[in-house]
Amino acid sequence: MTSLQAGTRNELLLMLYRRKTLFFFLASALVPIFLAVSFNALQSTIGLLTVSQSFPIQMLELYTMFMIPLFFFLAISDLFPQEISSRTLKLALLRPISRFGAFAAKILALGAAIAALLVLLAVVTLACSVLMGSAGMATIDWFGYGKAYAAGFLSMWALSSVFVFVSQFFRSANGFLVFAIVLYAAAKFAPFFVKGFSAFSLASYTDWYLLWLSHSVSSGKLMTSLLFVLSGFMLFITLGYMMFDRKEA
Amino acid sequence: MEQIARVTGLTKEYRNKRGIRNIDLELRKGDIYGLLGPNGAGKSTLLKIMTGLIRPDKGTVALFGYNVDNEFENAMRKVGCMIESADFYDYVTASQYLKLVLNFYPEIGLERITEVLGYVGLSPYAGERIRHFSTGMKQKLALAAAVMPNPELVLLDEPTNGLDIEGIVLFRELVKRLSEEKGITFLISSHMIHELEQLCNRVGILQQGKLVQEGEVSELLSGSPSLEHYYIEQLRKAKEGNRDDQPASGNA
Repeated sequence: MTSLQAGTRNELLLMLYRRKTLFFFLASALVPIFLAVSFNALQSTIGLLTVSQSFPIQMLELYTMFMIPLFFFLAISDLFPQEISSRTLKLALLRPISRFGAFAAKILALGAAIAALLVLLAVVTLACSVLMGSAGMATIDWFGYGKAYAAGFLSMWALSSVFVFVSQFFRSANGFLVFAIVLYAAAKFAPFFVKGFSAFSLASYTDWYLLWLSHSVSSGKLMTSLLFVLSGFMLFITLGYMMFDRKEA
Repeated sequence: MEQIARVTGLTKEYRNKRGIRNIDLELRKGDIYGLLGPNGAGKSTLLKIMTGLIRPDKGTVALFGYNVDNEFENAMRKVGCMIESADFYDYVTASQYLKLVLNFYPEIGLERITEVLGYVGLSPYAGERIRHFSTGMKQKLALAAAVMPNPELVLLDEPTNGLDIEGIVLFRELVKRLSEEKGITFLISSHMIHELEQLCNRVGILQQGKLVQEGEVSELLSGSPSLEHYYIEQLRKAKEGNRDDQPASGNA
């Protein structure tokens, strides 16, 4: 357990030491502020735009669709293919931590980084909503937002597991990045051409949090979709680990 | 004497048919064991299997009585190593990297970082990013990281690659000091035969994946003027032996 903690802490520290991670977090905090300021400025000319009470949820849609997938593509490329190409994987594997521990540490660090990005987004969008919009602290639906962000986190972490698996086939970070973006775009467009594709694709769950906000969705459907997301996560993590375990550093 | 490492029947064959074959090796406490062999003889493969970086086709490795294959964490707890080239996360500083290493050993305090950087003469560069380091400086940092966790066994693969003369002398003194003062066991693979002659009490010679000769340096030198003479002689014998083993071809 100590080794897993140390491994996870190290992976998180390595993420923080990379300037692009800090840049991504900074940009993620600034985008909602920029949009909120723009909405306020344009409200007098285009009345439809406003920083409403649902601003944190509107931003969640933008982030789960584009920003967070882009973030975890970058993070995964550093965690796996980059470690192979720069021959630094052995630095972790030569410490008293099992292969499974080293892999789990990377997955936990990835999950923690996604969670941190979502917490940052929640704080910034709520602040924008209160300071620049119509929402007051008393009117905020804390429970609803909490559910939506938790569902957003689960769907993003589960989707990242698909790309963790895919990354095991690559020895170059750039090659993986390009392929991941194309694969994600293809998975997003596929439901328009292949009937029933979205039912079996974790990429179709980027707006899964909407189900949790809806009052008309049965708890049975919520449970079924939750089990699908969790089983997809476990399946791809297991496949990813099987390949990682066979790697020769 | 206490057994630190035991390698039994270790075999690994790559697609190009190179690798190691049926290696048996034992390291006893306090040994400084030199592993000699030409390029491609299998020295790095042996060290990589001993540290779990690659898996053998056959055979086992036990460090401190723990099997590397299924008790890895316990086997590696008292091991420091430097395998192949000194590669690092180049965006971190030397002290940040050593802190990452230290996270795996909560019983060791932060002051150890200053201590090990002092050992290898990198104290003035503690805050510098590794991307600005020369090959020799990276090699020194790898050595510092290897001895960081107060190990009882240190495995070093070509540790003097890229080091200048001062660095080589510093390395030799460090190994001698740690061996004498702390009784650390070393397994060093190197081409620097004169270094190994001065440092090691035992050597093994690898040729085409086989451990063709092994023994105490003092015994091996009893019939040869230097370890280099002995080494060349053993390689020649091994090659002749291989030629004799090959079936005659052509005139059936």
